[in-house]
Amino acid sequence: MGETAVTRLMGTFGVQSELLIAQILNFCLVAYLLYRFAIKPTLKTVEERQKKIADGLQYAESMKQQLAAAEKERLQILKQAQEEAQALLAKATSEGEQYWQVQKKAADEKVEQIVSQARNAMEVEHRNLLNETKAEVSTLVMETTERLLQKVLTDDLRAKLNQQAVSLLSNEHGTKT
Amino acid sequence: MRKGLFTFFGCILAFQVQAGVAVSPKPYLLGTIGGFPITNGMLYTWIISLAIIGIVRWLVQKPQLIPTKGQVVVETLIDNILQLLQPIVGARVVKQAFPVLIGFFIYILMQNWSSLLPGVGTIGKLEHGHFTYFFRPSNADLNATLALAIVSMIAWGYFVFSYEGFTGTIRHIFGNKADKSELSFGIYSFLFFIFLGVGLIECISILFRLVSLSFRLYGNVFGGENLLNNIMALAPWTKYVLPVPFYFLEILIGVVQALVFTLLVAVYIGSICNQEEEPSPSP
Repeated sequence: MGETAVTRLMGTFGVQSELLIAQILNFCLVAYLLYRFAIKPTLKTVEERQKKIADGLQYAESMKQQLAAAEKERLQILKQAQEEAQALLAKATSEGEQYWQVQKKAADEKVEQIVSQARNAMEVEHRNLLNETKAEVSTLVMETTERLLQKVLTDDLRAKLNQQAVSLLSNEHGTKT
Repeated sequence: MRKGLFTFFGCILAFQVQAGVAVSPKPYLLGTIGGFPITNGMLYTWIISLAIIGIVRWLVQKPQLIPTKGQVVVETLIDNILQLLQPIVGARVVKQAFPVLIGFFIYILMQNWSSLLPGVGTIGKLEHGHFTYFFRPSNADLNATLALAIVSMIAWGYFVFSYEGFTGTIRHIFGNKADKSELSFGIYSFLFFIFLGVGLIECISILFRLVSLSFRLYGNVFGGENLLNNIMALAPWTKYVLPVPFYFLEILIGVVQALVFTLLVAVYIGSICNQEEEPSPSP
């Protein structure tokens, strides 16, 4: 009786095994084709896009970190360069000062030497001049004395007078200098 | 007042009966090919199946990273359905079950909406005073909805036995789900018989899913066809205006029924495969 009721129900709604199998195969085929040629490629593309976006974000983050590191490195290099420049400047200033001192000392020494040489030369010149003067004075004294006395002086007297004149000249010169 | 209302609805009923616009519950046989019966429901199913493949392929074309407008439509549909199904079916099974479930949704949706196209139920031949129309909505044919229900139950069986195994499934249906530590041995043992009875009811419920899934979809679409036919025949002077809201209703019902069928199959799969992934209740 149950089977009859089911058969009657199936008959009322026109259910037939051939149509049922055809509908099952039809749906399976449509679902497969949809998935194979539309859903699966779309899902793959979505996944690929998400991966690309994630990679892009990661790359951007990485670039940001690299930029920060580069900026930090730049500042560090700049700071180091400034320090090196300061050190170089200090060293140059120090060496300049030292060089200036050495050169000054050398110049002073040279000046001193020149002055000393000039002084010596002047001394020698002075002495020569004095000797010449002495000789001239002695000769003049002799000649003057001889003219005054109207006679030729002996060698002893000449020597004595010469001695007195030189002594007198030396004393005068000594008091002047 | 009440007498007036009865008279009004009585007149409507009489008009429908007199107009004879009720849709046949079974498809008409149009002919046979090699002994295979070609019904108007089968013919229209094939036509719309080809159209589904064509439309979706046309929308998607070759998927690109920068999507076209059609690709956006399909991507949005797929993504939303996937997000909807994942918590129901469970992350473990959703990837494998998704092709079948999205197939159900798109197939049923397009078949439902195609029943609203001009020519469905109106193009045919008149023989001996009987009008035989060539195109019958697929889901207004019980063969189609029963076929979908059978496929869904085969898929359910495949996923359940694949992921839970035979013993796991039997344990899930007939097993004692009480906490042994909280009950005495006597009560716990008695509960075995209770859960055995519950399991038997569950088996009947599982078998009846074939009926419930197929007749729910069939009933809604077939009822919709009847509704539209009757509204059109209600009064000749309103046939271009009055059916319009009901067409919108049928568009809505088309989506809802596609979603209901898909979600129910997802729930059937998830009720066994998604057990361990349910979040534990907070104390």
